[in-house]
Amino acid sequence: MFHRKSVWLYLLPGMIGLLAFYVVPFVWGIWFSLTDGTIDNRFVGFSNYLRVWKNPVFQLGLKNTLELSLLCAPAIFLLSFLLAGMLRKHVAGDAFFRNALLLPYLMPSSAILIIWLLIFDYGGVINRLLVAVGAERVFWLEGEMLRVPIVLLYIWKNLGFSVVIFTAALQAVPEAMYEYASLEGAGWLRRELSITLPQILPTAFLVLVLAIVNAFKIFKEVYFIGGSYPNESIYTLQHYMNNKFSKLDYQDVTTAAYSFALIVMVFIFLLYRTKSVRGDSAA
Amino acid sequence: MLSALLTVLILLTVWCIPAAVAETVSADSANEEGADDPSSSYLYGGIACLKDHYYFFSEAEDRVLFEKPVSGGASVGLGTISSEQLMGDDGSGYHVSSCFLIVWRDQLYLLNPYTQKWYSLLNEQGELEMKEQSAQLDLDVMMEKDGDYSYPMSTNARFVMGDWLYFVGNTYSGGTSNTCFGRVSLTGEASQMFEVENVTNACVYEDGKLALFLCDRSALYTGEASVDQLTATLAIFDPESGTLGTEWPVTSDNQMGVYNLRGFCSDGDKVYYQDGSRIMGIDPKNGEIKIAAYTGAGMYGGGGTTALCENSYYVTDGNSGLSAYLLNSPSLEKGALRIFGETGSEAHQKFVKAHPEISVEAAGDYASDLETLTQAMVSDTNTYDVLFLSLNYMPVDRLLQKGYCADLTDDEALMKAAKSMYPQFGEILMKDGRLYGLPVDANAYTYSVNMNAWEALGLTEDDLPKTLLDLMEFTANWVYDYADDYSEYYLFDWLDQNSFFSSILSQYMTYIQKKEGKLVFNTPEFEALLQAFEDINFKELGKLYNENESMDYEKILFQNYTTVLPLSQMQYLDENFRPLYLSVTEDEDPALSVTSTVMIINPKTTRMEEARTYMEYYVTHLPKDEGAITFFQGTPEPVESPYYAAQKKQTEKYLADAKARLEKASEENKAAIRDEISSLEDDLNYWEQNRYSITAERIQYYQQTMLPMLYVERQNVLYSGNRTAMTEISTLINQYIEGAIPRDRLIRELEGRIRLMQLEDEI
Repeated sequence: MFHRKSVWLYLLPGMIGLLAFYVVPFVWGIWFSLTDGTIDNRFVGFSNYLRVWKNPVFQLGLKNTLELSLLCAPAIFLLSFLLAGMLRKHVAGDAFFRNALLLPYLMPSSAILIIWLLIFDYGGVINRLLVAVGAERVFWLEGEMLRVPIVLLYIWKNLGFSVVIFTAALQAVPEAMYEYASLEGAGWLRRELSITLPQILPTAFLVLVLAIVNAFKIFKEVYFIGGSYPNESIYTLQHYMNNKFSKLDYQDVTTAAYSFALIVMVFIFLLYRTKSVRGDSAA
Repeated sequence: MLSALLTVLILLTVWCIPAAVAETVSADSANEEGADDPSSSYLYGGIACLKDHYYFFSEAEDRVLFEKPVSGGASVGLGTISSEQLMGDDGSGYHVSSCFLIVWRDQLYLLNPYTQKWYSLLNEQGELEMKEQSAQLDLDVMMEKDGDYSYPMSTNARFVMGDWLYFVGNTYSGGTSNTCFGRVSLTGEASQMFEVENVTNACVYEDGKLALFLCDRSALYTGEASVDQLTATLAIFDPESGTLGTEWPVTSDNQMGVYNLRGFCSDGDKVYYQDGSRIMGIDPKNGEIKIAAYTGAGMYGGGGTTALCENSYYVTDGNSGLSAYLLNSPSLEKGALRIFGETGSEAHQKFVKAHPEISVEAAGDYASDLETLTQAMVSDTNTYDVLFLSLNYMPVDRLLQKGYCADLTDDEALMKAAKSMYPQFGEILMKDGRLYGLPVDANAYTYSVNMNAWEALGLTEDDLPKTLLDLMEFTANWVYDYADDYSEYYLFDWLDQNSFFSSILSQYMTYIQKKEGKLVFNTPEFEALLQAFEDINFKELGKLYNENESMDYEKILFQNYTTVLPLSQMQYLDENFRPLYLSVTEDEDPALSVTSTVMIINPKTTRMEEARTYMEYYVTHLPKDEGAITFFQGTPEPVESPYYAAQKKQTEKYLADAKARLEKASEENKAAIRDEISSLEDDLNYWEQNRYSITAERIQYYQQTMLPMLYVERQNVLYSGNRTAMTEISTLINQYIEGAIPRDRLIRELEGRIRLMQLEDEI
């Protein structure tokens, strides 16, 4: 016999955990962002938000985070789709390549970083290759150029996960549909656009959202390379929050965090909205 | 005529007899109890208690045995014990400071471990009458052996129980430090060492048993543990059966941990000991620990090793002489004014004496990070009421910004004090005209130059370096210009590449902050300094220093760190050395970096009145030779050295003694005594010449020369307490010093980081 009351009883432990570790901190954080952080912790409304948004370093962090995200997320999306497409067919060694792509995702960033630093060092492999082709060495680990190894590292590390998702989605598309389309005279491009894409659209959307959300959180690699105060070109919003946290500026941390969360939520909402509109119009 | 003569004779007799008696006692000993009472000075030989009197020797009156009633009152000198009275078999005399006092079978004894002789001190009337005891004691077990030489081991505890003298000593055999625990029979030549390990202190408990404090310090000496990681226990020990009872853990929240616990004694119920500024009581039956009294000492305690429990008082010798604290007073429930960062300064000790109605406790912990400080300030238990904070090392500005410093503007006495200070000090913690704290000390260092050595090189005053760049250029050229011809001279008292760079960086930061109000590294001045630093060949310079040779002080050209504040420390500046104030550029005046400690009150304190009383008293009673002259405007009087009067008196006494001996000495001994007299006369001259620790000239020098240069350092973004950022900067600097990164990259990286740090904090 199914009792409504017993449902709540079973849900209770989980809900307590959710409340204690998600809801309460979330609400408490909002309160922090609305107080002045002094010993009396007075309510100050939205003045923290105005102050933080005016701070040039916050603006720099936000700008860099958006730029890096807009570089990394589409790159991961496209590359993972292409690679998944190549691995879709079962050929000799496909398992090896799939695992090889996933391996960077499983390795700790600190371990990969050492190798990356060696590769992009002034006397490293990349510069040696450049010299070999007659170009000049580049200071990859300084200044504006530091973005290149960071973006490449991020893509290389996170590509595998998206490839796995795409591969699963592609393999789920019934082969019979491709056969039928071929029989009807559809070319490769027609088949991809009319069969593959519509079939994997939900998965593709998921991969895109994950790629964007994860790219917004890019920090680990940057922190390992650049430290708490790296070059301005790679100073992200996470650096701002991290540094403020270490100075016990909880008000600024929460203000920045909720501001950022709001931006990401708006972005995702717009994506979902676009998807829905397209879905409706397709219907 | 005859009757007049008789009258005069009688008067003279009446006058002279007391004077004759007074020669054997101290002229000061009849003072009412006060700051001048001998019991307030350093005591040596411990304290003994017999028949409601304490007995001790005091630094204030050399070699005089004093007694002082347990119930209070002035100390009375019973007589002097001369070195000749403590003569060993080899004919050499000993000072009483080599000996120690004990009480055994209702008699006071003095033991000399050097000669292994001991003496009863008092007759039946309680007067001083020294008699050597015939019984031989095996005091050899209390001696430290070092080849053919032996000397008394330092002891953490000495006490008598029954017919035994117990001791806990420290030995340093085989290069390692160990403790030993044993006893010496007072009835004959017998001694015993106990096999109990790690005994670091002990005292009598009850029923023939002892309380032992056990602490394994071996990990400390091997570097495996720091002082605050040591653990300790207390247990009851039966010396006859050798059995050790239950060990109860003893803990401490002092930053020195259990290492600093001292002065154990018992009233037969609980065992008491000093833990920082508290007397703690532990019940050996159940291990319960409670606060028994507040001493008012600093966070490291008041010193002292002897402790007695007499009539519900804890009595000890320490930095302030003999002190007695009422144990388990009902007023303990009110708690105490809790002070962070107080190490037992003169002003603090004066406050404790002037305000016995306010219990004070110096907190034993000393965290410097913002989080720990703020949490402690809002905590319900163990909150700090008053805080002493280092302005350049601790986040004072951030605390001020966040409202953790009480507004003291309405306190007339404190505002008056602030306004009577030089502005660079009085306004340290003023914001928008409101007062939040005051400075209590100031320290400054600079280079100094040995003018004799400078002139010996053929250089004149005009050749002295005026800027940091001049000094660095001179350093760079030293090897080529002077090292060969003047090989006996040393350029600096010590020379280390990393420290030299740190010094340059600090001075540049002082300069740029004074000029620009913030840190900037992308400047021609900083680049010039780095260039000059790179021009110095530290390897070649290092070859000129031989680690195995001690330096001839007079051949050192420059000293790296010469104290110029507090002003009293300048007296230790050799007359040949004089401070060298260097600017960074020729266009700017030198800036003298000052580090200061400030005092604030926690706005959340529940003892605001007491805290203000403490602060008002403290700031207006700063030692003259430290803060008072440094901070307050006006024309203060020169400050006499605290040692002058006592040292002069002692030297005059020795001189008179030596002259008296000269008259009676044989011809062969006269030459040695004459040498002694000459040396004593030199000492007297020295004390006359150094009568003042701060002379009128030095006060004028401070006001006219030093004051305009002062720059009070505050915690800057570079040393903001973000440990990760500081580590990154240290790494960057080390990379530059080691040559791994070039100069322009260092400047770029530093400038980039500083800019971000400063912009982050912009409001």
